[in-house]
Amino acid sequence: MLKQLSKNSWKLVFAAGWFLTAALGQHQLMAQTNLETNAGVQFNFSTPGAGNMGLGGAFLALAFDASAAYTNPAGLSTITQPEWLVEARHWSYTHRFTDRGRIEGEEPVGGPNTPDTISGLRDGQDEDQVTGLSYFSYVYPRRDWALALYRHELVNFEANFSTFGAYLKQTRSQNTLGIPGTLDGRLASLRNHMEVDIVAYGGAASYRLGRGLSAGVALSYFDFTIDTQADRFLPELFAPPNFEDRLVNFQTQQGDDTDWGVAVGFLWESRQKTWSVGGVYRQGPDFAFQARSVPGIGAFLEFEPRERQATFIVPDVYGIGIAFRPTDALRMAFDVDRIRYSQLTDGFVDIFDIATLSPSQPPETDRFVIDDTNELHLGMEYAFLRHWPILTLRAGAWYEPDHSLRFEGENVGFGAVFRPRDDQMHYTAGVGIALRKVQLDAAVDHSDRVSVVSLSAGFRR
Amino acid sequence: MNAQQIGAAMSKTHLWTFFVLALPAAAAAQQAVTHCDKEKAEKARAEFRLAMENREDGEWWDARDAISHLKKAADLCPDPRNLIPPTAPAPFFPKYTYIPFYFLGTCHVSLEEPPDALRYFHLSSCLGEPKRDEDATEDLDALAGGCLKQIVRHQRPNKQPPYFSEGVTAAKTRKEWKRSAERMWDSMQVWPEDGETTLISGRWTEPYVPRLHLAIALFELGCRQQACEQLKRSKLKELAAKDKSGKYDEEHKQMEQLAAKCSALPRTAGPENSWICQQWQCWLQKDRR
Repeated sequence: MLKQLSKNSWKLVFAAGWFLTAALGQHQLMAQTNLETNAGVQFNFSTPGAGNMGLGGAFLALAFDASAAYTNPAGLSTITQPEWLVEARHWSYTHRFTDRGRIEGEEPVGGPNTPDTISGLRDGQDEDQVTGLSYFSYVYPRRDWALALYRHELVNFEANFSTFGAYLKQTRSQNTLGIPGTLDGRLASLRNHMEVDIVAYGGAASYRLGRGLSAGVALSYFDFTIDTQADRFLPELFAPPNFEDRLVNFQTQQGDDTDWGVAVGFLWESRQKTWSVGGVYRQGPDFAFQARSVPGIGAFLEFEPRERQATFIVPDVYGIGIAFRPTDALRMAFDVDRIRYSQLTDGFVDIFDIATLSPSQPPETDRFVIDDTNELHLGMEYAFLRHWPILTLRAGAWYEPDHSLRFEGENVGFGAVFRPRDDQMHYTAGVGIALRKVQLDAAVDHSDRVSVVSLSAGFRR
Repeated sequence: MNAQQIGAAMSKTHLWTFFVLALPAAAAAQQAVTHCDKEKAEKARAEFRLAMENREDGEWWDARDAISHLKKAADLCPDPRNLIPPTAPAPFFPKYTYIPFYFLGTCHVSLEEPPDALRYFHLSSCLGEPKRDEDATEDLDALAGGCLKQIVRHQRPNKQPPYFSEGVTAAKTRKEWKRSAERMWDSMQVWPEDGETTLISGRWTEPYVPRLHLAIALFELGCRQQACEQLKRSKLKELAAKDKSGKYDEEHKQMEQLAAKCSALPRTAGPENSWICQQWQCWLQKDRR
């Protein structure tokens, strides 16, 4: 089969791959910040398609509709006629954050008119919802190759939540800056707002190498927007927070940027298409934004506004999957995805410039940690082929290990905010109706932190 | 003799005259398709020689290369009629009888492509290659049987033959009628036409009516009579009559269009003479369904 590509063609492929990798690998590595807002949110970088979602996201070895253009471009070779896919999603985010209480082990002070009555840290919870057109693609197949164009909404995220301000070890001392420190009596009350949007526009191609093996590549142009603001209010030690005055300072993370990213994939199908194996590497883009810290009108301590460039890093993903199709009606699939979340802490940025504001307190930016994770995806679908139109039922689940930004240093305040969270189990279900030229699919993905509803429609001539 | 007897005698005479004159014409027409002149025979022999360079000790060491040369030889001269003597690929090499279809079949066997192999073995049988070299082709029936077993072995009652989806794709996307016809025939060796919904790719479906698609492809290839015969044998009409859901609407429309074209064919049209139609005549005779 390899003889099908001439030697010169292989040289061209390797040269192009090297060039792309070299060109796309040239970016500065400055990364996320220690703003508390970042502790209360977790991103899932979603793959498209309601059919895919209903299968628990186990799609690498299936990859048989137009969503393959982004998920595993090698799967485009399984598409036999030109087709379109359009998808809309509704996300419901639940944010959990350190809200109030007192660090475990320290007894609350108690007494009249004081909120310091809770032993142990308590999380707060808030919800936000976003709806949008999340995916569109067109696939044009030929005998041995296929091309596709797509638009995919990788992240469409919004968070609005406020924190009460937990009590820490000390009671009397108070950091007038409201920035988490080692000698704090109480964390500042924060009013947080965050919006992040990442949209990918791209093209993908696949080629049949023979013997059931296909290879694919996708090139995406990512468009990024971030708008985050954390207003910091310094409450009385023994009074509830007041979000009207005593704004001591605020921090923003804002910017628009673009970047390129490449994905490569493979798909192998057995002759009878009973078994298939697929794999993908998706390079995550990086985006620059401005991180600012500015004194507020109620500041006790004035300081020069600080502005630094930081980077929002979308982690690289490696994935491999296997699918089993014993009959035309039944499909089962299992994927493992390695997400390089640790990349997000490369060159971590101290948004507050603690070293200048509080020289006795080290910023400890190297003590912020996120672990790489292995996501496990499992899904199954059954199509009622004797029914017309064809009715397909899907179910799946996927395991999302915790990938919260956490702090492992001495700063008690940061330690209280940037804490590990629970691993998440997602449960998915979906249904599809297929006619000769139109398919409609719906799916839901539910976990404690995020629920997503997806509707997609596929068309062919 | 009365008038009736004279009329009957004249009819018989006319009948005999027809057969005496028409049969050689029909035979000549078939010979015109399968038989080759000296020039084509020489070219075919050259291609055959190049193909046999890939054969050693009964095995093919580059079957793909051999196939490309054997196909050219077979297209130039399917039936050599003593114009091509046994040929050695090189001095001191064994000589091979000119039986390109048999060797094409063995090439596809070595490449584990039993449908293509089976079709070539059928052609070998139809074109009399076993008579040209009984020793070399003594395993022809066994090989053909083995190919059929391999094809049918993958049959699952609840899983469609992959050939059907390849044939539909070849027709609908690329208008590759030859490929489509071959794949529909392959598909029917595995599973008879039953109209059940099958997955073509992804979650897109088609009703399993390979004989209709074979008829359409044959008509596009110019084998109109054979196409119309296959159309009559297709079960689509009775399936569509029983079904109220509309899932056969598209195929029913295609069937009606083809039926109209078949009706417009002149009744006295002779057998199709093109080489491809001759091949299909052979394969349709061997159709196990």
